[in-house]
Amino acid sequence: MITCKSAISLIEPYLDGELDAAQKAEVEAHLNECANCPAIYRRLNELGTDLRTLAPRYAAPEHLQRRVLSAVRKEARPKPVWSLRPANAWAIAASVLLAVSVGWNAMLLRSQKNTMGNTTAEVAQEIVSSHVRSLMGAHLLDVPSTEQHTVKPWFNGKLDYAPDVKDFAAAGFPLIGGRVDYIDHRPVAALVYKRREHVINLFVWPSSSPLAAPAAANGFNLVAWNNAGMTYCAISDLNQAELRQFAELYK
Amino acid sequence: MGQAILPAAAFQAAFSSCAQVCRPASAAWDNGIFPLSSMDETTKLALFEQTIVPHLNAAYNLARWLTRNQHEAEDLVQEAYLRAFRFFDGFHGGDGRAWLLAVVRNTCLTWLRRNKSGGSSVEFNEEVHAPAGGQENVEERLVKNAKIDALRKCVESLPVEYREIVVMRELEELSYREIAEAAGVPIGTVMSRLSRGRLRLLDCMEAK
Repeated sequence: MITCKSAISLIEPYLDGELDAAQKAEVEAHLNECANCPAIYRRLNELGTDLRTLAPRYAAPEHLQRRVLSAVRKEARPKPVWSLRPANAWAIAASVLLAVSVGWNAMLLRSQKNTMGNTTAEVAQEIVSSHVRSLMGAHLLDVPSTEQHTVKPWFNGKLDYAPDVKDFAAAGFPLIGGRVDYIDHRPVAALVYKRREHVINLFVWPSSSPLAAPAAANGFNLVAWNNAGMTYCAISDLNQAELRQFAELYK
Repeated sequence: MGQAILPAAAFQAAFSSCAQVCRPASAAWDNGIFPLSSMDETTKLALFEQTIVPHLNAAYNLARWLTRNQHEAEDLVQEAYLRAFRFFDGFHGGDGRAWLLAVVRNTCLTWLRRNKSGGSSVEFNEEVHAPAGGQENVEERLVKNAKIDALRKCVESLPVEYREIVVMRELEELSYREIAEAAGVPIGTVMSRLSRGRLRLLDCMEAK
């Protein structure tokens, strides 16, 4: 049986739907028996009902949606460096891009092709997309475990190689699990670490060609390295310095 | 054991220029090179429009209650959306509304601190959803309108740290945990502020 004092402190969480079934039952039992608490309950309940049904819920004016959308879309579009009449600007932008892309492609064609025939830039791009997907959806971990001896055997039978699973909890990079992801047309191991609230995805697959990963893409930092016939690529929203520290530990 | 890293800034600058121009070209060239930056920006915008933009009413409602001023609320909501878009990489899924409200709240509180006098409370219900009904007679409607007005004034008179929590709980119906995240305070603080805010509201309503 709860006292009036604890019942009073539970009335609001009760009305707010924040109690579990046992606590709810206790509050209800008390309200049935107590002489004073039901009045407090009724006043608070009435206030809540009034606020929810009568207090103004201000709806955004129609023009605000258009304003916000156009501001955000403008923000998403990179700003022009110089100002010209629109038609000329597009034409110049297009030719500059064309020139740059020819150069870029020529460079990439000289760059190494990996075993599956994709350029390493494409692989880096897949890594970024895979990292974003892992954060947006529920599919961050197939095997949630902080124990490297659980994570490593989990990959057996799912991959035709054994990724090197290490835990750096002591250094502030705890292992939180792993999953199988699909990069460059093959299943690869993704080991998932944390640094404070930042998630680090470390992709590991057998390949000795260096990965031309940009140091940053879409707000994420990347560090790639090769070791003993494996390619490693770590990606996170963590700052570059700490991500490199993580990479150094791993090496 | 070599680290292969390209200058990211140059990479981004070269290819994020414009999706419309890049796309057709990228198909003709080595497909898939451009999208690393330009398509991710497009994807980011699409995701943002899916997960965050739909909560515009909640954003505006909170801003309107915090500033007590329609025009300031509109400007601050726009500012908050731009900030939200810039920090969208920090949104790791979950409830977009609670995440957005945290940004709106911070934007509004910064503005309130800069404008210590606070917003003015002028217009009455100018853009509020019209309350349902019509069956009730004139007298009932007058009583109801008086109550709505009293509620509005009482909530507006709350100190902002109580007001934001009352609005998030009663009008946006966020859970204690979501409010704690949005307001950046522990759950215990949410509960005590909510409780004190409600006591003040009860006193205020009784005085009306």
